[in-house]
Amino acid sequence: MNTGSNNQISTRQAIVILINYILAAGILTLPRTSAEKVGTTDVWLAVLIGGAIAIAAGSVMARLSDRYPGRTFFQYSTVVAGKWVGGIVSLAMIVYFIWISAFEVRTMAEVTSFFLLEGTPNWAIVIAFMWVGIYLVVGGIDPIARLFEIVLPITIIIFVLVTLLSMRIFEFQRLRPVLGLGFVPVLEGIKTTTLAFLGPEILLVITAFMKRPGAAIKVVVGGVAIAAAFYLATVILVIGGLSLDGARASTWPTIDLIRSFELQGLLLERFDSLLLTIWIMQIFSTFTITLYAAAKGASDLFKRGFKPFVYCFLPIIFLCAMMPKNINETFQMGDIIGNVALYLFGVVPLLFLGLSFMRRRRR
Amino acid sequence: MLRWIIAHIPSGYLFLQAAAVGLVPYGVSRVTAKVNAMAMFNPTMGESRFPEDEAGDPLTGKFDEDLAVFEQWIENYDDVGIRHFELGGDSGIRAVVIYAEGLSDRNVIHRQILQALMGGEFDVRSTGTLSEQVLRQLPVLKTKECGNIRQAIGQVLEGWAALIVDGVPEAIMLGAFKGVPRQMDEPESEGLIRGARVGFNENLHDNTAILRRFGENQSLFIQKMKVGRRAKRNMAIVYIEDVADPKIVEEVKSRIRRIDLDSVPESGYIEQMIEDSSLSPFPQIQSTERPDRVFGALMEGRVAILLAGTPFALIVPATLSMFLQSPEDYFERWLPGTMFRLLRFFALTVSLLAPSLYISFISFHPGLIPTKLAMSIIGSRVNVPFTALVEALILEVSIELLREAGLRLPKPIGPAMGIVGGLVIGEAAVQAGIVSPILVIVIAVTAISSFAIPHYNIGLSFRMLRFVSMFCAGVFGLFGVILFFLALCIHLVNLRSFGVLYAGPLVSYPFKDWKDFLIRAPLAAMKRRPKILKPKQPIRKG
Amino acid sequence: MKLCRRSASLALGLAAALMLSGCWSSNEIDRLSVLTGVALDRNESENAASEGRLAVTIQILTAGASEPNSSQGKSTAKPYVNLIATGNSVFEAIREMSLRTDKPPIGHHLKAIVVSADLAKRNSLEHLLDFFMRDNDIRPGSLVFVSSGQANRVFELKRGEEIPSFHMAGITENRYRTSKILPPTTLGKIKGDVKADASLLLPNIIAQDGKLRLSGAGVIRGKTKKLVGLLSEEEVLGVVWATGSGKGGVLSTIDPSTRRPVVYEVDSMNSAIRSFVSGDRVSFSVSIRSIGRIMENWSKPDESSEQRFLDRQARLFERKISDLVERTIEKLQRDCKADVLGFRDRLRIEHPRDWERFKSNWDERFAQADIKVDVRIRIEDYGLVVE
Repeated sequence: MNTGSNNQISTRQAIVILINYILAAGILTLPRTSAEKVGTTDVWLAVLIGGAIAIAAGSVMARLSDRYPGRTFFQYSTVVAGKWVGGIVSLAMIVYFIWISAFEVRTMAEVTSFFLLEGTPNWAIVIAFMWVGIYLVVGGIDPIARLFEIVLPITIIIFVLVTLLSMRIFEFQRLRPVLGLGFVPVLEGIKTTTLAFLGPEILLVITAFMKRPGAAIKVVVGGVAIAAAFYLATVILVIGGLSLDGARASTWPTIDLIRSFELQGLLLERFDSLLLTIWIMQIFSTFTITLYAAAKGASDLFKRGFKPFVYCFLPIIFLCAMMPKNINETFQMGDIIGNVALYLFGVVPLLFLGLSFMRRRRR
Repeated sequence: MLRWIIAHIPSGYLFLQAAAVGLVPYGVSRVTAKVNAMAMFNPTMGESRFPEDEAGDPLTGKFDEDLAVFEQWIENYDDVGIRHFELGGDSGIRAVVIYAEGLSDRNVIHRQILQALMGGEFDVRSTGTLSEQVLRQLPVLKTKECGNIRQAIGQVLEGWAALIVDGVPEAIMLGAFKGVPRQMDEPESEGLIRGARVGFNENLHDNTAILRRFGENQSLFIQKMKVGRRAKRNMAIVYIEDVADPKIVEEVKSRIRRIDLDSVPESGYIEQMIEDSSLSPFPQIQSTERPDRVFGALMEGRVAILLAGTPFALIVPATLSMFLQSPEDYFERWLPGTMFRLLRFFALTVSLLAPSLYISFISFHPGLIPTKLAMSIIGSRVNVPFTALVEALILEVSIELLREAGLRLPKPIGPAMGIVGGLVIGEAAVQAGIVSPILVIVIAVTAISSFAIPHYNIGLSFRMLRFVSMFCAGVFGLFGVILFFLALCIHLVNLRSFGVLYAGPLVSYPFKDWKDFLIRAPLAAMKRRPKILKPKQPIRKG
Repeated sequence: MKLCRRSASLALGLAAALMLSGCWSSNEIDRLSVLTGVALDRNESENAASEGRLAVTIQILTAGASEPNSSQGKSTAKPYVNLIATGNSVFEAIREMSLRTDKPPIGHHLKAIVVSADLAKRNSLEHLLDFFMRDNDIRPGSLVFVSSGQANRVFELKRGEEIPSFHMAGITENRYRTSKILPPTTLGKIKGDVKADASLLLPNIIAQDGKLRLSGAGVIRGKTKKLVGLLSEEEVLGVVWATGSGKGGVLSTIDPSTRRPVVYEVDSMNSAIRSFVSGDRVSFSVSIRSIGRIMENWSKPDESSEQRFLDRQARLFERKISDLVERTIEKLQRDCKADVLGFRDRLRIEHPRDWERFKSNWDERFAQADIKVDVRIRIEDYGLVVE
């Protein structure tokens, strides 16, 4: 009897994967990065627009993958764009996935060692984290989807609880005026907020495993919309709770928000531990899904087994994660990844989609 | 640019760590794969060993020769008796009854076999063969024929009486079993306030009979098999034919057929031989003494395995959620049922994580607890010389010892021991400053919570895991607890029991199944059988 | 068998590695001392130049005192210890404490930071509090006070068993009983204000006969972040009314006809500020609305519960409030030149583009603004006595 996985995921599972991928470092930093760029209280608008752009870009990728059912991008890229171009683009994507994986791990280590484990060396935190991660990844997409299904409800419950509690220091005044300085500041922030929605690129991989690949666009819309709700709530609550300038002044504004209030008389007076818990889980899911995507991509591209790549990529990710020398370089690394992603997943899929249409027609 | 790159080339030490990052999990995966392969049943063997049982000495039909073989066989079985006699009156036909002392019922052999045959009328010339005539005379319910001496001996050793008649080519096997009567008492390990006061006993027939008594059901299939190579035992596979997924039934049968053991003294042996992962800390098969639990599982589409000689029935496939359910949930009204179920999930969390959270808060994150609580903990811990991990381990281990000792002690002493151990030692330890009173509370709550879990063997799993989580907390604090939780979840989502996801309704969101998961919906609302079991007949027909 | 041995040795090695290197950050709670309050003063000794200009007092809890089962024989020892160290920076001074106690202080439970007015006049608040805002242990929820006297005096109370820093945090929670208390000024809030160059008020806490008293507030000007003046309790009352931030409290006035006091209890108060810009001139209107009841009445006319009487009382209170508020605003405009009433926020919301022009030197512009105050009070009931 086949007790193993049948390697198929439902549409619902695909949405869950997408949400878990999108929600990551951004929960803690987005209020600051976007407030810095926008500079007015219209940050939330920029978040909304960023989400919309992500949906658009994601739809392109979904449409592209939908044309090659049962195959990942790494399998059909050579068909669409030829051996060399397709191979190079695939390779670039693999490198991208490795880097983003490393970036998430590093951010996790920074926050954990700052707020939870002062004094524990970063490498110890990272190694323990990665070992648990690999246990998940070697199982394939199926267990990943299932674990994410456990993690997401926990995230939602705790997030709603924590944000509701933070209403006690929320002041609506801090969110006004709307569009006081016109639309230009919002435009300035759109790039930052769009980058918070990095994630729909996973569709290039997981559409191949979906029971109904045609629902890929539904996945993009559903996944990004729910993630946008999270980000929107975060940004609004942080700015309403700490004020725009407060959000700009703190490295991890969301944690600052939760640390700013206490509730007397409960078992827990302080809720930052809860926030950090779900945040670490979210980082974990982003880390595992990107590691999976990288290894899957490499195995598809080079037509070799999947597991050896997982084990090989682990040390590489570790080295990349340990490379930035301080927190500024870590954030810089995030910016670079974002810029790369803009081209790799904003422009390239569009070109591929066009190419793919042309090829079909010629035939 | 180049300078930047050079500045960022990691040091050699880092490369060493990087190598460890990759190699250690690789090594671990190889080792676990090997261990698993060793511990698992071997799928290639089995199957082939049944034909050999067919071999043996066939009965020749010649009375003296056969008798000699039989006598040779039973020479060393001092508990097997043989009684020579002649069939009814003066027919002069020789016969023997071979029986096992203690296993066969003397009364049956006296009255229903010997008396009937000795007093009967037999005529060589009358209608029908001799064997038909013999059978006609015997007021014995269960008879069968057997053409093989070895098999016949085997059946004698199970309690059949073998009748060999001169002129009848086969041995006639007569069911003269001696029942070992035992009350079907309520099982001690799974008591309920409300529910039938019935438990399985050691008799397979009684056990299958109880299941039949739950109501007439023509599709309740009971199929008997034998397990064990040297000591063969009867067992039964029970399922509801038009509900259970035939794939699961087939899988159960094939796995049982592959069991290659000398003997199977208890259903735990079967459990360990057919489970999916022997490295998992979780029981992947539910064992129970309660017929109502078995019947409920059958109705959901699961398969039960009953073994002769043990009151513990096995239920497959098992899911994590069913270990947290109790038949009482369904017997009581749904609101209290739901409340108790939620309470049990809470108890599960507490029993798994409470000590490790204590450790991580006390020795890693003093900032995460309320100030007033921090003050009182500091006050209570002033004289404790140990770290929180050691302190918690001391208490946990002594609680586990107490629990273990309580099992061994004779019943009248048990509770007294509990009082001495729990109260006196606990109080003294606090007084002596070995542990802090707050930890005593934490550990006590943990212990109470673990008793609230309705299944003993899942409780065992969580007791083991609790120690693991405590060590994780001891190394990484809350971060370690989170990683532990993630690792546990990863294990759970990977685990399957007979093809069914062990984490059950928790994953892949079968929302309809959630009516009977964290909550217990009103009976009328639970119209469907659990979807994850892929039942043939998904709607409960009431 | 070989495999078994190999895996066992591997597992042992791993476990040993974890055990040996593990528990890096573990530090039992009872091996730490909990820091609950910090007071910053000027070092006034002669050799301040060599010792450092700051005198930092920290209050740490002593372990024995928080023992819960000390019912038999109450310990006369105080549950806290105050340590003083000097240095040129706060962090330096706090780390200096480690030379004196066996348990390192941790800041997770810091409740109150008190800055002496003297120090705040000379130093920027941003610099003084910088350490507290950066540190990862200290929570943004900690309260910040100024003290017009010596800051470390407020950490010494006469009643031994009370912990002063907790006491301070407790007082600020009485806002629903009196309106002379400002909304709590937490570190997190100050962080935002400081970043925005906004002026702010810090409650002033003083020690009076060995007891704590919240008395007025200190005004910190946004640009320099230095203390520019102290508000009296009456003026704080004016601030609370002007911003409508009170949760309750009383207001008494003298009935001119009988020359006897009448007391009004606030049920709700609420203020709406509107801003107007014409060219470079900015003006504001403050309209304050309140509902409440008469809770004590010494002037007892015969027409007491009649509507006319209530109306007359209401007018009295209105006049009293607008007096208070106008006097406060005048002081803020003339003496302090600091907008602590939130006018800047209204301007930012209502005239965002003008605000961009004004924000660089807002406090000066505020000092010139026209501000109109309008008060309406409704008395809803008069307690349980019908006269």
